[in-house]
Amino acid sequence: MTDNSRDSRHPRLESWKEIGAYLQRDVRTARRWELEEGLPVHRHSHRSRSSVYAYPAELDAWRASRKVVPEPPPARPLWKIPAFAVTMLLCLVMVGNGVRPVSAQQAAATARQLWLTGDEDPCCTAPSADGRYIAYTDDSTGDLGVRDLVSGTSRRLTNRSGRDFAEPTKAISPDGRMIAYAWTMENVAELRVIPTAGGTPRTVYRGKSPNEYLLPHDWTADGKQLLVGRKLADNSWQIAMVSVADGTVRPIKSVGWGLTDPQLSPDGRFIAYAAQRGGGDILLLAADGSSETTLVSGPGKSRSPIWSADGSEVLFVSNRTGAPSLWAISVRNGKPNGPAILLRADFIDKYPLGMTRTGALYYTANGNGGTNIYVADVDSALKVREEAHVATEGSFNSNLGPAISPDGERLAYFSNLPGRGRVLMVRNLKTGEEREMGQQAGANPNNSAYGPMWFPTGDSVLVYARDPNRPGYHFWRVHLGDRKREELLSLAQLWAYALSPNGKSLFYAGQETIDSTGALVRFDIESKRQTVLTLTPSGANSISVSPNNQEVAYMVGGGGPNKDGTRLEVMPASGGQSREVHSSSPWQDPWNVNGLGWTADGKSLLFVKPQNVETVLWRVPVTGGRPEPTGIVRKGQIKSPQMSPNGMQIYFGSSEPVPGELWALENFLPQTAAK
Amino acid sequence: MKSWVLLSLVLRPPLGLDLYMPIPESNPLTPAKIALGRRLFFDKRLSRDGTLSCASCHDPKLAFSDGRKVARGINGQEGTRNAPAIINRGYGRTFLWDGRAKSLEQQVLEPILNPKELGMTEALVESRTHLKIGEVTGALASYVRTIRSGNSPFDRYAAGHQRALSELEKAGLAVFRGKARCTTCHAGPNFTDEQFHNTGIAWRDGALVDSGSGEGKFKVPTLREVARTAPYMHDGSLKTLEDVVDYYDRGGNANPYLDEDLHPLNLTSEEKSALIRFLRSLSGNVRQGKL
Repeated sequence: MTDNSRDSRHPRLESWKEIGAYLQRDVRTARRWELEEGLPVHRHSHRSRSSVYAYPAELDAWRASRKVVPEPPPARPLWKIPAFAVTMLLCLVMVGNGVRPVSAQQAAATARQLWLTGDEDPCCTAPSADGRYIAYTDDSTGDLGVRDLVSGTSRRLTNRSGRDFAEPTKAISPDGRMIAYAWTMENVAELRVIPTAGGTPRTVYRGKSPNEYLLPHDWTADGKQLLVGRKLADNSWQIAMVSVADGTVRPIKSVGWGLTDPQLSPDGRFIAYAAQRGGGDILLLAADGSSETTLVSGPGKSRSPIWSADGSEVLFVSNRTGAPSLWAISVRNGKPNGPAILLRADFIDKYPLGMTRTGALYYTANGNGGTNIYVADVDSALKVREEAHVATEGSFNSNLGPAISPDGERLAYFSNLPGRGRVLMVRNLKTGEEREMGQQAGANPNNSAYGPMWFPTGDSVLVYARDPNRPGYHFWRVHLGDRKREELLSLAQLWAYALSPNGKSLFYAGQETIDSTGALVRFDIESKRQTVLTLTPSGANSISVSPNNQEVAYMVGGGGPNKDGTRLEVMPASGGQSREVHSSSPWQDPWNVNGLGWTADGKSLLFVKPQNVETVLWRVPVTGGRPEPTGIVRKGQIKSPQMSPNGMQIYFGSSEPVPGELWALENFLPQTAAK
Repeated sequence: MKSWVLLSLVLRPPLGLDLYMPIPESNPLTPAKIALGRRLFFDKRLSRDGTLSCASCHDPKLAFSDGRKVARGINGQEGTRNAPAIINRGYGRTFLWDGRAKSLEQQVLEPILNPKELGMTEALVESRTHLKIGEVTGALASYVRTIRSGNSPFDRYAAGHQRALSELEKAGLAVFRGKARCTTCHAGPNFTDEQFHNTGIAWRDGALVDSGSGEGKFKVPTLREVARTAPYMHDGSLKTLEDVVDYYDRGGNANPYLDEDLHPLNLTSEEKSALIRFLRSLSGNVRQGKL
């Protein structure tokens, strides 16, 4: 952490909701990232503040450090996979309702959707042994609850007060009667147990210092001890056992800065866990501390180990063949007993939770939301004629940043492809042909607001990227013909940018060096000359240049310590006095919005404004006046609104929340299927 | 002594330490091996001229350090690095200041064969001890694994005994975790992240005088028993804990490879005093292989 993590432009994010909004993800994803990938979230700083907070610059650095894993060669050729696995892959996905016991006679694997979870997040919690119950954290309240999957009812178990909340990691006792959970309060966290049927919670362990907390992952079979991840006050982690009766903590192993998914074997002798946040080797640690064995090592990263019901296998998710897939490895006496086998090749955005005693694997899916590119036909008054539709079918839920080519015939955008990261794509709007133009230079900035921007010749685009090997933000010109990249500019801080339609100037809001004052700057690409147009110490979150290159529009405010109002301003591209086109009370999510564009005739500005849980695309005359809604309303964030050169369509990106789902995969293990 | 007695000692670490200690399958811990390792550790036949043993630089009375700026080998030869305190090294992942040894078995052989330290050859070790070199290193590594420090006032405080630390020590702990951000590197039960960092110590007159593991980076040492292991840093260049705190307070020596987490701390004199008091609370009970 460095001083610049305390960025005055981006004030501290004070809740899971703000953190999620900044990351453009839902709350559960932010929480999961904290647990599994080390998202830098702080706790318990001041009594007057929320129990969690984060610094945008730290989040940015974390995002930049999430390196894309190169696609490794397959560990085993597919033809070597045992026939039963192939058979199961062909027989998957039969959707049913309710919970049913797994029949030992079932021949085919089935995947059944159990629950559309909404705000009730079962993240990181194994189901009860009989599969009937699962604990959840209510993202809207922070309370702990339990879902009866047979009756389809949810029951809240806690009454949250103040800023307390239940951490997402919970564990249901072997007899299904108790739930262990971590309860985070102001300046202290407790490990508690509460009856599944409801009742008064009992504190098992109270943190000895503000930053210490224990996350329950599993119970011993006798219900007397809990396997916990223990975060120490220095932010390092331990695997430990805790006595349910008296809270005595027995540290087993210190694991440094990250701990992922420890799971106790059914016989209680071994603990399987992922060696690193974000995935790594799967290790088997003897619960008595006597030994440790690497169960699964590369290629790729592995995570989310889950013991089979009989303890003979450990399931895990690995990207060893590219995309995240579900694998299993046989275990005998705490050692690997043969090579890992592939069970399901399509385990993208799926997180195993645990197995029932009958061998059903419960997992969550689709919690991350989707980003897509849409297009809406508009009339001469810029009102949409009909509801916007998806403009690109490929890589659904993974596309961002539309850019219409100057001739209006091609659409450039990014696709986040599994195992490959952000790939530049170009779609021919006439033929529908989509071509990959290469992986984006540098690290994946993981910012879904900004896509590529066309140079007027139509043969190259502007992109920006972060680089894990050097600080700052870097602009590149990517030539689509030979796919060569040419670095144009590096900045210490970047808030918003736009390329002029004539391709001669890059306008950005940011800081050239970390010590310089934030400003709106025109960078003339050929001469490399930079001209400060106006100082914007509080940043700017959207910039757009008029079609005639004469004016630049930008949005400022909405954030900062004073939570000042948001203003839409226009100034000459050559510098000079700005004028306010529109202003309003501060907008909720001022970060990374990129919600500004010009109409094709240059007479109006399109701008995005949140409205409750939706965002609305508005139009306002560039001379000022009353804004009018275009009729484009989305549940997620509208980004990069852009009008086609003929003025007949509006393209935009949108991040849409996708409801979380709980699924059960049954009869899929070789042994189970063979019985 | 029955083997189960030792096993129980291994499985019950001092307060504050992990239950699990990595022990290679190729060198399981046995009482006989530990006892042999202990004898070898103090055996001066392991130096070419018979004047020094491992314990000469790793004196149990000094928490297994030697109190010298840099290690002194046979014939009075001085090395370039400080002899580290070999406390809780069984929990380590890399060994020696530059991490070039990947196991304790590798590490224990390095000073024995170093011409400026004990100056032996493998053949000479075997002829003098009548043991194979693997038996010597296995036994020494086994003994070193039993050298553990825990149950310090800090450990008792962390376990919930509020009075185990004085108010000044608690204030120092707050500085350690807070303003001084020592836990960026000195974290976990052993107060080290086992990583390598450039703190600027090796930067002199515009150049690196020792590249360490590369770019002037050296391994973060444990802070267990730190009050007993002066002088400090990889070259022993800082004589006292006060010097160390002052050094970090000014942000280390600026150089092209300085760790980005280092910058001036602006500690007050009270905060420095408290921090040092806290560091002194990390001295506890040092156990070693004597059953």
